[in-house]
Amino acid sequence: MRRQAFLAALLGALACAKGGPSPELLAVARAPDASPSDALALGQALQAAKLDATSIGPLRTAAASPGPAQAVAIDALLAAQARLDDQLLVPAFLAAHPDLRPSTPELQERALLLRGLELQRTGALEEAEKVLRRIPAGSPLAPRARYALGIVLSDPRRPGGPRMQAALDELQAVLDYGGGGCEGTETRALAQLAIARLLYGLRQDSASAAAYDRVPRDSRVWAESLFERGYPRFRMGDDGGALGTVHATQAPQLRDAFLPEARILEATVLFHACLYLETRGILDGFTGTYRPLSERLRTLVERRASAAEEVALVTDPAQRASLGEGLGQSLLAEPRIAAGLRLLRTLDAERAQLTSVGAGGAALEQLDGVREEAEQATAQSIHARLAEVSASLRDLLEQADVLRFEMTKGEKELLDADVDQRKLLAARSLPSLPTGGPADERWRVDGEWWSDEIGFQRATLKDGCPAQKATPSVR
Amino acid sequence: MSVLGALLLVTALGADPEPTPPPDPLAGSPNVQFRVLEPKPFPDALRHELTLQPFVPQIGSTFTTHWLSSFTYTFHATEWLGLRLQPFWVWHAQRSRFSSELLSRVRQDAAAPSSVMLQWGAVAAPEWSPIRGKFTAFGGTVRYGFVLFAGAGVGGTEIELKTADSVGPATYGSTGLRMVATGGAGFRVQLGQRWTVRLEVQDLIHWGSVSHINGCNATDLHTLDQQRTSGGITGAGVSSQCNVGAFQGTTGGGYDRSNDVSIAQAKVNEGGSDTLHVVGVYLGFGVEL
Repeated sequence: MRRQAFLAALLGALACAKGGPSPELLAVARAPDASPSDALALGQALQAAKLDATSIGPLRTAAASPGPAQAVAIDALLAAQARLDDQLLVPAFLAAHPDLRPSTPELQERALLLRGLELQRTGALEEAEKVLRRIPAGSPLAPRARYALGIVLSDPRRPGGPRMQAALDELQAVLDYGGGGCEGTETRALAQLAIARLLYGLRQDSASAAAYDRVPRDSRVWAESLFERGYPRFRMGDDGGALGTVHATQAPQLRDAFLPEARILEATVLFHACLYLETRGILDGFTGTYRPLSERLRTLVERRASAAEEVALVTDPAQRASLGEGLGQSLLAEPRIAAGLRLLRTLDAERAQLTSVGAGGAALEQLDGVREEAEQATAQSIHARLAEVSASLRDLLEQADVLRFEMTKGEKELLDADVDQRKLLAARSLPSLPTGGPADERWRVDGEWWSDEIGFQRATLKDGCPAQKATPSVR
Repeated sequence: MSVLGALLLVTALGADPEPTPPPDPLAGSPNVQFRVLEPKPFPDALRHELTLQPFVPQIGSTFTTHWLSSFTYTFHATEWLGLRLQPFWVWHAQRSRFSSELLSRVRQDAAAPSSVMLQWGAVAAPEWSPIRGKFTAFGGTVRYGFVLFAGAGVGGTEIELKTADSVGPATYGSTGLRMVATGGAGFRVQLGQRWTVRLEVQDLIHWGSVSHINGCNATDLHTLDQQRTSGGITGAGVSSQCNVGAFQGTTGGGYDRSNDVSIAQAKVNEGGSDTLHVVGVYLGFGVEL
């Protein structure tokens, strides 16, 4: 086995020097089903030829079989995962083989993290918690692990119930880690958003709003945080702040964000002030946009298209555009979907590389196997997200109907009380807008959307409710 | 965006900040109003700004031409108000082309009070930033403020005695320290946390009659002139402030400086007074600390 691995490595190095894999290189390894050592040799040869994605197939075979090849294979598999940033196949493999132990502490921590994230994703929360806790606080992977642990601890499905304070402590600890490059920055932004959500769940509205404000503007989740922070503001009684922040999600700069719920919150704030005309305008716009999309999605989800069709829904620009209203772009931005698509692209590039040198046989078989799995996993993620969006849109459309019903009730009550709301509103003046402090810049909103102003909009709105009538309680 | 912002946008860049969004159902509502309340990305309060204006040309001059360099220290007490201290040094001051032509073609010299030139000075002034704006440039947002300031200080002045001719360059006599008032307006553009660019128009105003030249009043100059015609300037009998040395010796070109006495005497005897404006365009580059 050692001789064969050496030969494969040597030929691999030669292949690299020539700029690509050679047929000879790939011919040295026999079909990986023969033995774990053969599978390892093929995996190593593929890695040496920079065919990391294809190497996942034989390396998994070798790693799954007890024997001397196992430890080497798991190390090589983790190396390929790190280079590819694969979030689908290797994590799933590790979760399915909890006893595999890489050779170095660093690789062991990585394996634990990947396993923990996969367990969390699949809902095995108790296991995920145990695994994630095994990653030491000083590890470079600790921020990601502690973020995931925070999410697990706050999950209502957690056996024994959620532990909010412990979750907040873990998430807060994530913010104290510096560095980590793009991944570190993203993890801190996610932790900040999670803290804001947990605080809102704990009804600490003021702290929640402040935590939402701290989500970095350049993070992937900023648009989401922008809309969500309307909730604590609304519940605090800051209707102007809530309306301002939610309204800002209409900015063209955020066109790639999929935030249908923002329109419902906007309508709710307006309804709370008995501004029925404005509420109706928002709801009509919402229904006009999202009912057709909801119907399209329902068909898509129920049809259970093939994996290739579901992937094409996101990768084909025309099909993606047909989803409309930022949904296509938001699917592309989903980390798991993005990782799946990236892996598929890599596999396609590797296929082209292999076929260009006339290599076939075992390597191509391995590649096809890996690709099929990757496509299935990506399609599952896309399908799950579409199903989630479809269900959410149905809920939101129902909420829109409830708001319409409540509005009709409110209008009837006005008629019964002989109140002409138009006259009432004309008689009332707009409350003055907040002026801010000396270090605040005040800008008029005149139809332009300036990137730096998004998130700083404030609104003032008249109260259209008759004085003697208590405002509808929707908070 | 302010009107000034729009103006700058159109004239300088002509770029829309973003494409037009879809119609907003709340846009025309009389019951809802929006405003942006944005924290200043680079607050100014309690910060110090140092600005160098290396080449300041005088504009609209009649009888004199000044080129000067200036250094401005501004303490921003609040976001809107600051205090500026501005020393300046005039490194080129001479009779204007108009004045020179007047003299050479029709032998008509400008009145002495109108020919006094600034040599150096320092002014202090409160600064007010009543308007702020911003515009997009190179994918970013540039913020600017419109500033107004007015204040006072002192400046050293001089007057040309002999004009530049074949004998040698012009000679000058000091007309003493004078009060200088100042006022101006301009734009201050902030580039990031630290850097600023200022473009201002500033008027340095000084006035008064020419009653002394090189510290010598009319009586002193009369005495010196008599001494000159009777053999040589000794300086006997003149007041202690009179700088007799300025009228003694020769210039590098061989010009006998005692000849300046009669010119100085004529200018002092002219009388009258004038208000003089040195209006300059100050392009400055600053750093905020």
